[in-house]
Amino acid sequence: MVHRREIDGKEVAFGNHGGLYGNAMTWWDHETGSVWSQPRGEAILGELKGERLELMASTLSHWSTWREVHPETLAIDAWGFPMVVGLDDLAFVVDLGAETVAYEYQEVVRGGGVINDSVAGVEIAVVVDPIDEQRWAVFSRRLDDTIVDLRVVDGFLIDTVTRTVFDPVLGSAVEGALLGETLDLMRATTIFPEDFATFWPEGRFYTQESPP
Amino acid sequence: MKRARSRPTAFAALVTATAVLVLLMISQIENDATPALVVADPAETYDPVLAGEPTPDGFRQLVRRDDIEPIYHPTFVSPEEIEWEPDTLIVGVALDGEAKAYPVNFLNIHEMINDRIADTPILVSW
Repeated sequence: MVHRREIDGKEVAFGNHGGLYGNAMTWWDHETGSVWSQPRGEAILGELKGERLELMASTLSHWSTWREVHPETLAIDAWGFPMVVGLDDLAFVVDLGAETVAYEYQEVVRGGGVINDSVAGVEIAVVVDPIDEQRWAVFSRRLDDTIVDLRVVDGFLIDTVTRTVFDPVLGSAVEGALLGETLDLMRATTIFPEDFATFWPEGRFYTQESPP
Repeated sequence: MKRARSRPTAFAALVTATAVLVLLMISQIENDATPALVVADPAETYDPVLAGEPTPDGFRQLVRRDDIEPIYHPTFVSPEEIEWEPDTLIVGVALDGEAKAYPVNFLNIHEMINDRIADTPILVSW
């Protein structure tokens, strides 16, 4: 996940505190040494306790797709790393302040690869790429005055209202009435489901019975 | 003896002159760029856990600060210069016409990257 590394408008470096809180990593800020917890981007100990860093929009994508959509991209100068990661055991967290909802990966897959939901009155969709189930994204479903209703059909992400076809991870319309438009990527984070309540005690887990 | 002493002196003068020139060049470069990130020494920075402040339930210290080495000064290359497999899973950030990619499996090792995109300081973590 990606956070804005600023406290009261001032740039601050962050290090690895080497501890776990609710099974998630902790950071230390180089300004005060306060201890921060990753999922909420919140200081849990020290002078800045209670402060939060702003979560920024980011996406998980295949290198080839990212490069295609962002030809201007830079690549971190890194190679030789092992291939081990999997999303299967994680949940996606959408924290909009007034309401926080966790979507278990398996629940999204059970939902056909997409969940249309509303969090704190904001229409959103959680999407797992039907072609490559290791890619996911959370979008706002509002495009100007249209609220799209997304379904995965034959490997494509399709709005059932306008029949527009979207790229499932980048949110760009690739065919149909809304061609040229792009769904806004929402800020979301990943967490182990069993740790969700630790960080968002008031949060809810999405289930298929939730209001659409 | 005199000759022997004058040689290192001349050498030192050359080294000094070169160093001054390099420093001037660096300061010239840095004048145009964003100021370098201020990185503190973990041993010199207050640690509420080491100081014995009560930690919240569910917190446990495993290793020392920065034992898992964060990246403070990442370097980047253009896509043509890197040989990642096309299906490498990356965390992608795009802001104001700039875009950056960080492979998840690289983040798995370093866990944290202090970076900037479009003049915005960011922390990429996994």
